[in-house]
Amino acid sequence: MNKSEEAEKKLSRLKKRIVREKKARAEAEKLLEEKSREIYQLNQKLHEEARLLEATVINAKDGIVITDADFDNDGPKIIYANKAFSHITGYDLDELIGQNPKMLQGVDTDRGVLDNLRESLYSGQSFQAELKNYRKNGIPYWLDIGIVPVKNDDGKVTHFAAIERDITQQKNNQKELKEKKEQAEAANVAKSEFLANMSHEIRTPMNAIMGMTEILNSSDLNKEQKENVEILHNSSRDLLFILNDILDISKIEAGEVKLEYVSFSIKKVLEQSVELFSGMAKEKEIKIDWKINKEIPENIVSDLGRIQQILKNLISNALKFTDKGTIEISAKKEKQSKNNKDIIYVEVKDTGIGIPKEKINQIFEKFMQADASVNRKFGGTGLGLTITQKLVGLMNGEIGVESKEGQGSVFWFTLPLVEASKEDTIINIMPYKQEYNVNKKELSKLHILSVDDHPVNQLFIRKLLKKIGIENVDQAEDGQQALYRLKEKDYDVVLMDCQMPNMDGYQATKTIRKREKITGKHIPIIALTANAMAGDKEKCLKIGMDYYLSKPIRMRDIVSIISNVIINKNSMKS
Amino acid sequence: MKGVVFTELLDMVEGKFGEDMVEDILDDCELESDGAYTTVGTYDHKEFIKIVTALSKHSEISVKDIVIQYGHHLFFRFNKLMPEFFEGPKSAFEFLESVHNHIHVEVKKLYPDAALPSFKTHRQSSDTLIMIYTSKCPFADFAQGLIQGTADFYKDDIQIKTEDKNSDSEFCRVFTLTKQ
Repeated sequence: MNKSEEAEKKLSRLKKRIVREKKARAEAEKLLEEKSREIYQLNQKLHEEARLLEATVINAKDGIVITDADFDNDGPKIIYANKAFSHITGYDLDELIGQNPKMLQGVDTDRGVLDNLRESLYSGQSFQAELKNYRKNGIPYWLDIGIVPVKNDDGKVTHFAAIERDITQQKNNQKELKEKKEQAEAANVAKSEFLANMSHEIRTPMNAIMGMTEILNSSDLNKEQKENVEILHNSSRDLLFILNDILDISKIEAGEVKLEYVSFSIKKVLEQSVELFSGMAKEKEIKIDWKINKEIPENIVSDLGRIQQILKNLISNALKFTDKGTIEISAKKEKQSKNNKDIIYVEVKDTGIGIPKEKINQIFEKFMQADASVNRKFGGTGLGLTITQKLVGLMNGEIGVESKEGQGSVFWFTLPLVEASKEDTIINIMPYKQEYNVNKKELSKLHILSVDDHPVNQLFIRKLLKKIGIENVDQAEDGQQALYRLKEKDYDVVLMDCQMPNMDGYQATKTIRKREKITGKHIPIIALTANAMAGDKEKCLKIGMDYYLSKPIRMRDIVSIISNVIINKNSMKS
Repeated sequence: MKGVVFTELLDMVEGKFGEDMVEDILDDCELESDGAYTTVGTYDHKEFIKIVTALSKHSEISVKDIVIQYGHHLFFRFNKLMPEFFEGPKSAFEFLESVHNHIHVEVKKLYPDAALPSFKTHRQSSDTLIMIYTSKCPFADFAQGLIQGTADFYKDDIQIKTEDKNSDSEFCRVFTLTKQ
């Protein structure tokens, strides 16, 4: 290759290279242009986002503050605070920047919350709490503070951003509301206590009125006199029912109801409850029946008194609103859907007037009967179902109703089902018998000790017992006297009032039963109490009394119980 | 593949073999880009293979050796071009450990379209580092050159053992680096 050829070749290579370089340059310029445009657009977007964020942060009504995350040198310092933060704290922005936010804390700032705050920040967690801080002028304020760590790409916390809302007003309102609520609750409790006390006080004279009208009624009266006494008696009884309801609801609302768990036969409870209303059902020519599924254990643990009260309320309600047909009470075992636990399901089904659709949701509300006319026609306080619902609720059960107007109603309730263990003492439930064939001669042989501190009650009991042929009645004014009399003489029955001065009926019964452990005897004790609340009965039976009568004592009840004592005594003899 | 790999390759060829060699090998290759590379562009990695294959033919040096040598060369160039990546690490191991979680993360920020290989590392002992190269492209030798460059740069005497574990879906080479 000669020199000119070589030069030619070199030139051609250089040309090629220039072409390549030009192309590369054009491509680089194109890429540069594209990148510049991309950067410009991204910049615009960023700028817009920053503008929005900045406007939001600057103008936010909540205080926003950003600190660094430097825990050395006196802790994180404020690097940014918005206007609202300055407004809340009372510090100018230049007074805040570079300071640790703890400058806002004071004597009453909750140390526990601060410890949690520090712990969260150290571990890079977000934090939310209510905190008391202090303004520049020393006035405290409450804030709801939320702090979030701000992390870089490597996940390292570089800053903390906090949003603070002044909730001082809200806190004050809350405090005021709480105080008002407490006042209202206290007033409500006071009201309930007052009602409970008053009802109790009214019961005592009512007992005497009812007892005496009953005695009066069984004396020689002409037809008109008898009618008048019956009106007197029935009105007193209605008044007493109302008092009992008021007493119940007041105690429930005052939170004074304590459940008394005992072991008993639910079958016997159903039987007894139905028996209680059989007379009334017979009068209205209504068939009343009950059944219990075999799956339900013989003895269960629950609050006997409350179950009796619930059943009584539902059955009497059914009876009240049913004029023909049947009332069926049934109980079965079920599983609770939410936790698969055993429950007992009881329903009271009637063929009565039913409840209109629009009223069914209010049926358990206080003083709410299906219709105002219901009250005129059927009477009652409108508290029965409320009491029933509250009692079921207290026992962790549920209650409900299904009804079709004109066709009848089904009231149902459920309660936790707990089987009694073999070691449990089973409460004896007496069948309720209205008629006893006990001859007067047998009654006349009985020696009875009547323990009551109230002279009117003593007089009434004496008269009542005399009326049924029992003349041998000794009196004791309190538990101590009763113990003394029992030492002196053998009695067949003790009628024991519960609330008495010196020694009450519960204490006396305990002592009697203790003594009997040595003697091996067992004297029947009938509790007489003015406390009509459910739970009293269980208390009496648990303590060792055999029977229970709630004042006012009615003649047929005392005859029934004393007859029972004689029957038991005779059966033991034979 | 980023343009810088091509421009640096051609610069190296020019430096070592002269301008004519660059023209010779580019003449030999049919390249979509016509060999007009810019550092900021992105090009098909097959062009790299074509260029080194042509270079091998002209220089009579094996492709493997060329690629390893180029990797070694490029490491030192990177040190000049991007000194910020070399500020932290104090040894070859530390640098290699920063490739996957730091350098490649930063590269991705600048060039979101860059297809980077994976360089997972774990220290088996204080003297032994396992580095696993995986990629869709067959550039394990190139990686090896870079690793050797790293060791030389930090003046660490390191023995490099390799084991290829390629699969159907990707290329994989396990480097066992032992300080001597």
